[in-house]
Amino acid sequence: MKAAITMDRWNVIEEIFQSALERPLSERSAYVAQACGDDAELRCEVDSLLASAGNATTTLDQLVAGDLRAMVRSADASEIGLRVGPYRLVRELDAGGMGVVYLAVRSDDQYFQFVAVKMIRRGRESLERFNASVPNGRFLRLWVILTSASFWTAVRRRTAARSS
Amino acid sequence: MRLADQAKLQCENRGHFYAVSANVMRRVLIDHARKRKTEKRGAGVRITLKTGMDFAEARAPDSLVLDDALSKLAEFDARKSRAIELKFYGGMTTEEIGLVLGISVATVGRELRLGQAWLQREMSRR
Repeated sequence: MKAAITMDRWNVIEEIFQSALERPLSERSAYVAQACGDDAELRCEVDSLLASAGNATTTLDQLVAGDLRAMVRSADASEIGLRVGPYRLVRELDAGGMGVVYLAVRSDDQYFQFVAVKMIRRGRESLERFNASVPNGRFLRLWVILTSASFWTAVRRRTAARSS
Repeated sequence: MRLADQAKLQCENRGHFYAVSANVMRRVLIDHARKRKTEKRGAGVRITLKTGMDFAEARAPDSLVLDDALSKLAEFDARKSRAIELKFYGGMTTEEIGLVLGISVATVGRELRLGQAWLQREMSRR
């Protein structure tokens, strides 16, 4: 995009882009041509976005997954290395008054999965509470705050089971 | 019904926390990618052979390009940029993103669709 795009222009592009994707593939091209009229630049804009729509999810997925892998590979094992259940804490992401957030990885025969784990100081009540055996006993609660969708589902299932 | 309300409330309370966490994850990954890039460049100094590969390696990893593109997208469509951040750096589902951003699942789908296409195109132009 050459200059900063105006909101009006962006809204028009979005409208045509979304409407085009809601139509069958065979009708898209004709629809875009009709919707853009003789605005060649608009048509070029919409067409190039439609062309990029197909594999965008895969590209972004692979990019971020590749970054995570590279980071875990290069992490200094002595930096954290603590095991909490099936997870190994890889590095500290953030720290605050309530506790510390770590990036953790589960890597065994069945899973290769990244999670962010928040270790909360003893006594803190939380719905996502698990018992964790932590060697030094400083933190007794493990709070999984961010993770793949599958883990999130598991957390919710536990919560639902407790409430019913 | 009560259970559904409860689940919704929990998600709303946690929404901000998750959003912050996704952003933290993004920053951590980008810092790391930047560090890797610097190290690569440092190591590359010893190599004087000018082949096509050297130029390819000197280019920014795509993750940094993605970060730039995400920030650029945020300048004119912040909601798309955030939805994408929550999805890829927060590992959230469409439903969860909808709860955090306060929009319908269908709207999340549309936001992601155009946002991702724009990013993909933007990155391929670099």
